[in-house]
Amino acid sequence: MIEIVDVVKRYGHTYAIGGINLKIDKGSFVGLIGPNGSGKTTLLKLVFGYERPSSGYIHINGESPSTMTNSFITYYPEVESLYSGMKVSQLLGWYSEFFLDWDKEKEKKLIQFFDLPLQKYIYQLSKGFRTRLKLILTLARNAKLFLLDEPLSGIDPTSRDRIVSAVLNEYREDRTFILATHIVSEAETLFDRTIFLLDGNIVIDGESDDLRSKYGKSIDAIFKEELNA
Amino acid sequence: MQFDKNKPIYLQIKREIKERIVRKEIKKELPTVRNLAKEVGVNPNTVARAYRDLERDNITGSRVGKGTWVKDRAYSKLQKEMVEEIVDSFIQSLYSLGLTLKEIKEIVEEIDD
Repeated sequence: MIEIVDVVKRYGHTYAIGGINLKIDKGSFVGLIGPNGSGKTTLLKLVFGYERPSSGYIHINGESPSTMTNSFITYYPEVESLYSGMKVSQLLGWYSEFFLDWDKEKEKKLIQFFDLPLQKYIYQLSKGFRTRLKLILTLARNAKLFLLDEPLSGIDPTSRDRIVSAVLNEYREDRTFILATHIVSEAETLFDRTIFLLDGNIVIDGESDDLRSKYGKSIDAIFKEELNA
Repeated sequence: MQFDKNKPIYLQIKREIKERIVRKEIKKELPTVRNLAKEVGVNPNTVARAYRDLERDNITGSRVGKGTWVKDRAYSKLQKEMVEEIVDSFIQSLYSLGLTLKEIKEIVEEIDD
């Protein structure tokens, strides 16, 4: 599904990605774990095509990231860029027009699941509800590749379980997920594979259960103890 | 189902299935990978790995479109395996207290009364 070959991303003299080689199979659910500034966001942006590698290349189903590949990729950005002057219902309508793989039924279910107030203006929503709205905008599509950047940040711990189960609910054998997070404990059962990033490089990569038996501890504990995060 | 996240999760799922078979909560058909994954809140690939293991251990069989089922002799085999496990650890604990096998047998007979 995704092939990343010798990818380096430089901003001036700073290396955001130091040289990554990675293959991700269709149907995997990858946890991309690392402290702030480790390169998680940059890597997702490179896969989505928001950024171009300084060297190396990325292929998605054999093609470079483009508007064509973006037609089956749904991306949950960490930063918020919602049009605050719109009503929630207007924004959803706009998205459903724009994306061919938008699933109206799923949209309805997600609105119910997240108790989203449709008639409010986006600027009236609390941070927690903006996050839920962003998540609906990402998950209501029947995409093939889901790139989720820190969907658990800024969410109170009781709502995290709800988000985790909404994401899990979207998994299918023909869908691939990459979820970047530094909040590991609530999300770690989602990942069949976990990749740890540190300073723009992959430091640990393996099947999550194999890592648990190798280190004798949870993915969360590996993150905290082995990476000194 | 609560997992110990310090240990491989697929092994804990495998154990849970075996226990459900011995408790006769699963008699024939196993839940689908997807349903069980939702029920216990883990990635379906993790459940699939547990199912592959169960099949390799000859406890279950499966066919595309027909799902996964418990094999005929699996129930008695698993029951025996689990009983032996418990009896072993029971005897080991009593050995560690310095009891002899003869004394242990006497204790068990008293329990019977």
